[in-house]
Amino acid sequence: MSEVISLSAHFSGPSGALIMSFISLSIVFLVIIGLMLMMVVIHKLVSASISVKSSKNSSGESN
Amino acid sequence: MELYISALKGVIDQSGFIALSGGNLIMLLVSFVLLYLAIVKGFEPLLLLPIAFGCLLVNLPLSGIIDQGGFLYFVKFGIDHELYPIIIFMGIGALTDFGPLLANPITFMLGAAAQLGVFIAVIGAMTMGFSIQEAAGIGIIGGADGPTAIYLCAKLAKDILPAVAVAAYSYMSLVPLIQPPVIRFLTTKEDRAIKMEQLRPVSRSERILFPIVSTVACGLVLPASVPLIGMLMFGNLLRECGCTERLSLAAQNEVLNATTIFLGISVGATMNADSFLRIETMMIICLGLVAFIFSTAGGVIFGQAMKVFTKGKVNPIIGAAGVSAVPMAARVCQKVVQKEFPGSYILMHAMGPNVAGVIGTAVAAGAMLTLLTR
Repeated sequence: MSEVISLSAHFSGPSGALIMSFISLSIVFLVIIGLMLMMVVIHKLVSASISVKSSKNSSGESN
Repeated sequence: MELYISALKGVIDQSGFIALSGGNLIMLLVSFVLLYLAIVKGFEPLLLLPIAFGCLLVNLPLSGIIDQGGFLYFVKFGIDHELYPIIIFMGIGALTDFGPLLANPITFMLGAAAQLGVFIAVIGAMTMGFSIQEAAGIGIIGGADGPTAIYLCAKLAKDILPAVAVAAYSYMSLVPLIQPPVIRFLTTKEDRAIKMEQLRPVSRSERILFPIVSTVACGLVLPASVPLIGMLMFGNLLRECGCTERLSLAAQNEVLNATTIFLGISVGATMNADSFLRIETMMIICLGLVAFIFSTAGGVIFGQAMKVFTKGKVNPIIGAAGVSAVPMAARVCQKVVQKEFPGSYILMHAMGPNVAGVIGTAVAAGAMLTLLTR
């Protein structure tokens, strides 16, 4: 727990800024890649549900 | 007569002329310049004008408007407690169409790449002697997102808030001047000529699910980003769900406009001579410019990489729209292309990275808050 509390203390001087920047930028990329993948999954799920609905409708009409 | 003269003397003794300092005079001149830029030059007048007038008000001595119990003392509560930036994010969400981003999710990456300048400026600021908290506040100017810059500074470094707010909004208004040279420097004429495929239509279900899912995901991964991302997505859900049109319109118009007035005037109210006329202010303004240039460059360079990976299907210019000045950065991309190729349209493609930039900057702020407040 004490390591977490003193996290900002590690970022002192230009080298600390470099480390903090690297960590933050990588977090930004990770979160955005995660959101991007989520968008792809949402698209696939919605497309799948639409195609299931349309196939149900077409089979209902043929019956 | 004697009473009249002594009353007149009393009024003169309590007039602003007696207490007017050189610093006040300089700040009044600054406010006049800002008013000129807003009214005559049209640089972000909706924000610059309230900021300029707030600056004017607090530099008229002895008015008491900013003292305890004064009008601006209470109005400033919204900045001191980070209320206005968050309400503005709700309004931005209600105004934002995530369709272009949902249609082409890969452009989301450009919104992350265009945060490069934020971190370059953080390193620069630390090298110049600022603390890591102040450096984070200065760096976020590179995101070209005024509300996020104010939010982060209010949380981490209140002392530099006026300089950061003014720099952020100034550079946002200068997007059409700063970005084109950087774009031209990092792209060839062939790059700029690339025509992108038409975007697919996005279903209503996708539009509704995206704000809900992304709020939950961001909230769980990066809780510090919830106030910004959560309210951005709430505003967007009001817009997209189709059953809260009145609320959506209120968020886009009345709420956003009223908050913009109070935010602007509160930012201006922080520009008193004592806190603004310092060498640090000039350093912050210079670092902000560096941040902004590198953010644009980061987006365009990543756009170049995407062009290579997609075998020439992505116009790298749209990377410049990864900074979150919505929709100005996207419009700048369109103008740069249209100047050379009048029949070419990339505005909708640039809107994807542009709205991604809003999320990217909020995530960057959340990441730095998480790292620096622990």
